[in-house]
Amino acid sequence: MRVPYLLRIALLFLFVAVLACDSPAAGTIEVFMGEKKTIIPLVPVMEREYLPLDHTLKIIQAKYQELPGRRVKVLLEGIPFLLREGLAKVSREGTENISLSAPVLIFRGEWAIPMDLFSFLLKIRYGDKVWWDKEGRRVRVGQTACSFISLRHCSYPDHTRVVAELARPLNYSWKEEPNRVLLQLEKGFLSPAIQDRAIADGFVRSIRVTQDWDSCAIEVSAVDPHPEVKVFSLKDPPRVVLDIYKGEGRRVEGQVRSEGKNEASAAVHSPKIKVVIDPGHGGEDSGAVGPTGLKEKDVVLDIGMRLGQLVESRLGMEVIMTRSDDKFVPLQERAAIANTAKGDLFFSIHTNASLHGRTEGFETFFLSYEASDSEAREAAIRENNVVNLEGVNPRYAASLKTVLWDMVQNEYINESSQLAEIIQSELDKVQKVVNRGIKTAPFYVLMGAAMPAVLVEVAFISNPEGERLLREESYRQSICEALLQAIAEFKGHLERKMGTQGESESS
Amino acid sequence: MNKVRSMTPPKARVFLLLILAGLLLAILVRQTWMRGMDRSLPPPPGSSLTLRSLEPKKSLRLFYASPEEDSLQEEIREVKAGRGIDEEARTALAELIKGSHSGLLSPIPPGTRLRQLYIDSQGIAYADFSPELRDHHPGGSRAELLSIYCIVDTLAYNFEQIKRVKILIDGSEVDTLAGHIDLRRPLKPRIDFERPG
Repeated sequence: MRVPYLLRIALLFLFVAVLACDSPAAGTIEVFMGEKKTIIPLVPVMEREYLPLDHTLKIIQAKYQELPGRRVKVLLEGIPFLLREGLAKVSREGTENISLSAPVLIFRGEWAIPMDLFSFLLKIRYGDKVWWDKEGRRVRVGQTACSFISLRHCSYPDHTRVVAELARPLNYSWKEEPNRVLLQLEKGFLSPAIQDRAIADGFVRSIRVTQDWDSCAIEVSAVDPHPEVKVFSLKDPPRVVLDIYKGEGRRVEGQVRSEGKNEASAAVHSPKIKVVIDPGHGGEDSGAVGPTGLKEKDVVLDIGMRLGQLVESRLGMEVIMTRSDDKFVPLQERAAIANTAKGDLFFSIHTNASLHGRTEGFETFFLSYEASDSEAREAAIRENNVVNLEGVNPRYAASLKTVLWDMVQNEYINESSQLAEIIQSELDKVQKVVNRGIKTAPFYVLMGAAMPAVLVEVAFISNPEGERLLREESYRQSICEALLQAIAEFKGHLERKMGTQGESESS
Repeated sequence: MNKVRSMTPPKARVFLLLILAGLLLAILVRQTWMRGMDRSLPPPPGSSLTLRSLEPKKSLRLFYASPEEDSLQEEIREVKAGRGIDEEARTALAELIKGSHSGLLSPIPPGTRLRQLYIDSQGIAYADFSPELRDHHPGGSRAELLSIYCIVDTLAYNFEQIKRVKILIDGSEVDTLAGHIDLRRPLKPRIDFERPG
């Protein structure tokens, strides 16, 4: 008695289960939204796959309303779309018609839509943030947890560095093909902000990014058919770095290094301090513009060039200008110029602008040790390969780099802040307006410079009186004299430091 | 089994069944309701009308430039509470863009719109603005600092889930707004520019 009863229950269960499984036997579409996965069961109608309208629209947060005449109105992102049973098209109320591969149907009393209508609706709802797998069975939509946060590149004299910054360490692999390097990031999900870019710096033509189902790829189009490629990863924040050299890259690099060594040993005997002067903006970028049209780019170029001449003639220092005419120099190139020249001091000159015209004064900025700054600058400089530990056992290199980095970082910050103080007090002597003091902010141009670096805002060009003064040659000259004094004072500090270094090296 | 059946009087069985059915119904209703909440469907039109006076409010701290333009100052504004942080954060920026009601200076160039805003699992808010934020910017590091940090501070000080803010223009990453402040990485909030951080 007991056994047959249980059997009966089991049979009933089986029956129900079979019933339940019957309709979605055709397959499913999996929709991934962030961590959430939703399954839409497909409805097979005459060997075609359809999606149930009701279920599908709930997932993409659209509403619908049945209208007389076997029509249905779908409301998505505030846009009404009309569907009619038996018609293979969707019309955006009043305007365009989009044809579909199959007609919209009512099947077993439920509205059913063809696959391409679903992908059309996803596009409306999520724009370009829709990724289908190859079979069209899975789709990832919206802001997924992007693991590939940003893509940077930097051009150097002998190579181009491409950096993929990640949210967490990812497995990666790369393929080298003629004129092409393909870096694949497993579980890499592109931030929608990352876009393809043209570089054309002599090593790399362009970078393209592509998203696959659960990986993404960076395709670097190289100028050299067989470029020398170096790929490695860095921590904190996790990054994958791709260096592209010319085919004979290693040898060229070697030459550069040995030259560098000679320079360094020569420098010990007669240290010549190098000042990098960076007049802000230029070319198409006018910078701030005064109330009567005076342009920042012209004022700071004049001040920069004057200062450069003074520093060379009066202080006998070597001057490197990031620009010496009215041309556009990208921000990252400015730091690259300074680093390539192995500058001892980076000096960026700007004029300020405020929201309204009354604000006046002068201020000097440097990068602080504040977490976001230091982290960013650390990344920028590490990528610039300042702390070069080639030849060191890789097991120790990472920790050694961190320790060295902290020391270098502290030194730069201290020196930058000292220099900023000196500049402010020297400018104070020649300016009548308010001394706004020294400040820190994450300035792009200071970020990549591997040396003490400051950015001085000599006056407000947006202030009518400030603009009038900046037009006067004598005023600009007085600012240059003040900046020269500041550099002279800082030079003493640098020489003392270099002197002690020289002694310790020779001993 | 028959024994069991005979032990339960028919009335009690009906009663038990009713309770069970009631429970089942309650669970079903609750689940549908919860699902509705999940997808943040708006309440039916009738109920929203009757509840309007009881609508929850949120008071926002909006950051604008002080008259001296040396710092950001907050202005409190009451708005209708939104459904979830994404919506409230969008409201906060939309209110910020409207400008100050108390005579503070707005560091957002006129015509700027918020295109999108999303917050990722690491507490980074991606705020995507129309190109006016960059193209109509007056330039100058002072104005740029104010424009950037009024956005960053408004988001970070109103929503503790937001730790850092990344500003995008027209859906893309940008290096800077006006050639000074590095926007490649998400920024932490700060109000005072006079003191070194």
